[in-house]
Amino acid sequence: MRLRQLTLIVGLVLLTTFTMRAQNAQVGYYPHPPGTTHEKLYVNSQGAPINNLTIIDVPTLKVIKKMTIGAEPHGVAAPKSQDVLYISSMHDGTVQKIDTVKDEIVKVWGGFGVEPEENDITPDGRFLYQPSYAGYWSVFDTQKEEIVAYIHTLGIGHNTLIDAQGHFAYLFPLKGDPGHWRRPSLGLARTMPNEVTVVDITKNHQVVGTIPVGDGPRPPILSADGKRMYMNVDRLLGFLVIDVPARKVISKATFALTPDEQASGANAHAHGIAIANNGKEVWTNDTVHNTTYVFDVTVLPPKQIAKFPVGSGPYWIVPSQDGMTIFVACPGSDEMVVFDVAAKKEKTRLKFPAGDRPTRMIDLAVPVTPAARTSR
Amino acid sequence: MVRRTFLGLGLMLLGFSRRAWAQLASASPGYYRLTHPVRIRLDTVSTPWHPVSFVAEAVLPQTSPTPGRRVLMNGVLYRKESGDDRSALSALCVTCPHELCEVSLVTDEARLARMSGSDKPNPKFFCGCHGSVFDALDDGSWISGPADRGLFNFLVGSITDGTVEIDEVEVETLSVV
Repeated sequence: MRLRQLTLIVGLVLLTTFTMRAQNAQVGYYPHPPGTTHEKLYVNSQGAPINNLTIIDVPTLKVIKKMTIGAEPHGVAAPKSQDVLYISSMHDGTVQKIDTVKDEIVKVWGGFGVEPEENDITPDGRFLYQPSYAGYWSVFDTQKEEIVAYIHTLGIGHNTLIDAQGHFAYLFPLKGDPGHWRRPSLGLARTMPNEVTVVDITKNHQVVGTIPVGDGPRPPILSADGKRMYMNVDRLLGFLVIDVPARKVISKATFALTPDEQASGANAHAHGIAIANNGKEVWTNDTVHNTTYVFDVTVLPPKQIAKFPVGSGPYWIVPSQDGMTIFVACPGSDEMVVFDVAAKKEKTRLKFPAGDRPTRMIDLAVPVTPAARTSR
Repeated sequence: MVRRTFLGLGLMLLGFSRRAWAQLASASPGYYRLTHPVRIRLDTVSTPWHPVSFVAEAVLPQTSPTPGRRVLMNGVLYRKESGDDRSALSALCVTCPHELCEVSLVTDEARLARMSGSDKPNPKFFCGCHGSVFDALDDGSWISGPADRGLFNFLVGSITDGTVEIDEVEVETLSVV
């Protein structure tokens, strides 16, 4: 009798554990077992000449280290192991590899063209897709330490997303206005494409399709299962919903603006987009009116459920590992606003030195035990 | 009935044309008249480099792609040097022409020394989003960064009874903001 009870309890415990693991794997959180990681937020400061990478301990929201990396840092990308981080420097034209366990630079590579921008890396850490403002993406093999392919989109190389399976890369060329094209360093022909370029990583980095989006692509984010993409576009204060397998825009969310807001941002766009609350919400910024919006994306079109005043020029936004905290970088007022997703409430504001301009961020669950490290 | 409708429409068209013509004819070349003048007391801008914020409104003309659209523009009026000289006043739109973020005036010497154009240590407008820098002494002219022009200007008009009147804005502002 006692043995039967014990077997039942052990069985229930095992079932619960497997169910939790399966759920976590499904949403893409926690690549490492609980308790073996240290959650840290890495924040680029584009205006700071030194100490331009701030590392914040997420549980306490305290700054734990400042590092000096390449000037005007832009893209930040980490593989699934999250024990390394690749940051591009617009000014230097380099990519730096940072050991996130020790928080130190371990390698620097050059040759990524004019102003390397927002990159992404395959989950296994093998291929880094690095766009350049000059209009192309370099595919950098981190094992061979060489560029193995170039991909042209006829737009300004800007945002990049790679799906959780490492199968497809999505390239988002910036359309830009004529001012963007007067740069003397740019020599390629351009068509200012209103589309996302789809690349099959497993087929030798071949372009296999496009997703028309109607205007210049802006920051995107993929759902954990890779089936939905949410993205900002030029001249839309809101975001698009894309059916990724169908490669088609299926819905559009627009901010509910007051008449005065409508009169002061007709040509503006939203910038910075994040998925929170187990995939049920999208948070995105209205940069012109210094506001962050929350939408329920379980319905189409997405339904606006909250809006918050933030600092000046909110431009980038990322979630914590569990998707229950949101960080909004406001470079115009040198601050970061932190939100509690469940309570729909501002938690705190972190001030940066005047002129630092906190910009792009990444939240990592960094392995703390050597056994948990997989990328080195 | 048809004749009355025709006459009514004709009169409406005439009214719109007259209003558009009046706005164009009365504005300075390259500028567009605001719906209402912005009035700011002169004593509020007596200290150099202490800007006063304002919101200006214009309605787009019938000839524009979106006729009748109301446009609100955030601006600042500031004094570049001490004294009563009207030419020392500047009125600028604080929306960056690049990506429409709001620019801010930087007067801190340490920050100015770090910025582009630091050979000219005078105050500058700075865009936090992408780092464009504009010369505050030279009516917001472009110094560096991805913006392809300077800040949009308002015209500082008459000064009556200690009040400055701003009643025109650069035409290009209306198609960008």
